[in-house]
Amino acid sequence: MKSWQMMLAAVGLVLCSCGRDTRPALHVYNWSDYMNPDILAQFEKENTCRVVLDNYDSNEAMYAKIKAGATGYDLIFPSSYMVSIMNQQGMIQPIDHSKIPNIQYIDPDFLHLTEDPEMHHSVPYMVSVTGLAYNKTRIPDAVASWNMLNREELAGRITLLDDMREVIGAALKTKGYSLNTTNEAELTEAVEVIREWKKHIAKFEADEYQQGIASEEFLLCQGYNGDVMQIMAENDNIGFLLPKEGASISSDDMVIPADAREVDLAHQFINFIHRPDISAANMEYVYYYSPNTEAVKLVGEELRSNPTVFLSKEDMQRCEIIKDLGESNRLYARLWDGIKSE
Amino acid sequence: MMSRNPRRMLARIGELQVLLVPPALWLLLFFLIPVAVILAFSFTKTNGQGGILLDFTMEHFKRALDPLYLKLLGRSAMYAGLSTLISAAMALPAACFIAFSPPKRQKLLLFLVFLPLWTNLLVRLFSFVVILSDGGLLNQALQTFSLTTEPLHLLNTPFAVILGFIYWNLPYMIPPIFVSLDRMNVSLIEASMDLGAGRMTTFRKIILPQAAPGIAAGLVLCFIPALGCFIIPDILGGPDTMMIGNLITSQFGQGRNWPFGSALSSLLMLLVMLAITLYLRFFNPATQSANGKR
Repeated sequence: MKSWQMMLAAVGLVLCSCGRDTRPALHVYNWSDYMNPDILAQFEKENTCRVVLDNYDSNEAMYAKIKAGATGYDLIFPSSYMVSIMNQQGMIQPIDHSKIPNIQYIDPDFLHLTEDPEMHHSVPYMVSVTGLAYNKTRIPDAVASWNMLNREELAGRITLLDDMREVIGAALKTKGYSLNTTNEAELTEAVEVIREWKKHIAKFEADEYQQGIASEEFLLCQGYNGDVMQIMAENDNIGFLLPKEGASISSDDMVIPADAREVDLAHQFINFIHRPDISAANMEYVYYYSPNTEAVKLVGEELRSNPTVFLSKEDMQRCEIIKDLGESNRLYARLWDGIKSE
Repeated sequence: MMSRNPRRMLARIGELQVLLVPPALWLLLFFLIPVAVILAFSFTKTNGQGGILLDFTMEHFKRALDPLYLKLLGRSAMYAGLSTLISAAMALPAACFIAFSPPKRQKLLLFLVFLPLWTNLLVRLFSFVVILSDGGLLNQALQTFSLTTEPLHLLNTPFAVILGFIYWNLPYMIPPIFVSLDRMNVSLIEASMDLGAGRMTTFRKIILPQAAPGIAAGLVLCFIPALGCFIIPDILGGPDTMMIGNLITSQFGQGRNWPFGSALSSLLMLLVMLAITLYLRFFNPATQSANGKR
């Protein structure tokens, strides 16, 4: 009898707790560990809603899931190149600027590098650049150049990203070309550059280079500034260089899927994320640059003076966004397969 | 009690076929249908952005036959073949030792063979990184005993990949050989020795034919997974050790070309099926030894 009553009580409790939360829910699909949890709690409080988080670890995984019919997300954070793909395929909806007054703070210097400078269907969230992480004591004469990848004495202790656009892009920049070129002659030159680099590298590595450079297994790694910042926070001996020839810059953008249910709430969330105080608190947590001119002024001095996170205007202008190349992707894929299978 | 009426017995066997339904359903749902989907995908066009267009094309198979990719296939077969053969050479003496041990020790040894499988392969591969890296345990030991002055570059090389495969293969190679030797009548060895055959002759003429079916099973069990493997070259390999499995994986991710990845998978499956069929037809030691006795 007693256990029967207990069971009933338990079922009742579960039912109650389900029924009680009538607040609207905003379903956010984001990279993991990429937002300050405090600001999420604050958003829930200010707007009497719930934020339900789901994470992905690659643009392709996210795209495949949405393409396969996953619905119910109200806000997604793809990288710019994936934003254009999703836009071309009608997977996301236009942004209503009237609902996002804070959009005025978005850094115009950054916006004009992007593929959606009018913020028609996407609003930048965080910006990252690709450069070189290096071991300060073992490479005392480091220079900010991709040519460091040719150093004989570092052979076997270098990694390149396992990413076709990043590696070919770095080689194109070394030769002074655009990293979105589709000119075959330029690409052939870039492949020659990579062939030289490949003689010195330990491997193509996209996931474990952080661990490798922290443990001194690798001394020089092509990597993303945000990733490297995480190691630098714990290890003074690691530095980050933005090559003077230029590099790739990219942003993860906020987009609203075409089938979103809480469209208004999603707009409110974008507006909230770019409220200067919130954006600053978020930057202090994730160590990435959010292109919000007002928020940057509110960030603590220590972070603001960090050149790895906050690029100078000149640095930023030397960078280029990796664009989706449509049909020419095949050309890159062919070259990349050739480089990797040699 | 079974009825002696043959007709009723047949009916009983018919009823028993119901037992085949769950595994058949399972295979249909999780093996045949996915394979059919992959096969179908490999004839579709890609929209260049990771999507699939339902148009028939053979372009992916044509592309797969490019020398570039055939070279990858050749390298994969070489790594998988070499590591499988070395594993077999290592597993045969071990299996003999286990088979001829007293039952108690036999149990313990078999337990030790299976022990590595209790840990996830990924974790075990990262321990190889710790051992093989330039500043790793092996190099530290070599330098401590002054056997080398400069660290040996072992990690991120074909050597590390093949080593990884051998390590991965052994728990799948020893048991089948053990099983075929375990059934063997030990007095055959005594008889052979008594009749004047040396150790080598006894091994060649008595033990090896007995072990042959086990070796054959082990070769197949190890070679096929190694051929399509991508984790081991990914973690232990370097810039020059890409295998066909890595290429396929990348088509489903960054390459954003599912049809090409599917075509490569289909081609790999076809090759494996062809090889196994030929192998069973012409070169199966199991049937050979059975026939040889007659």
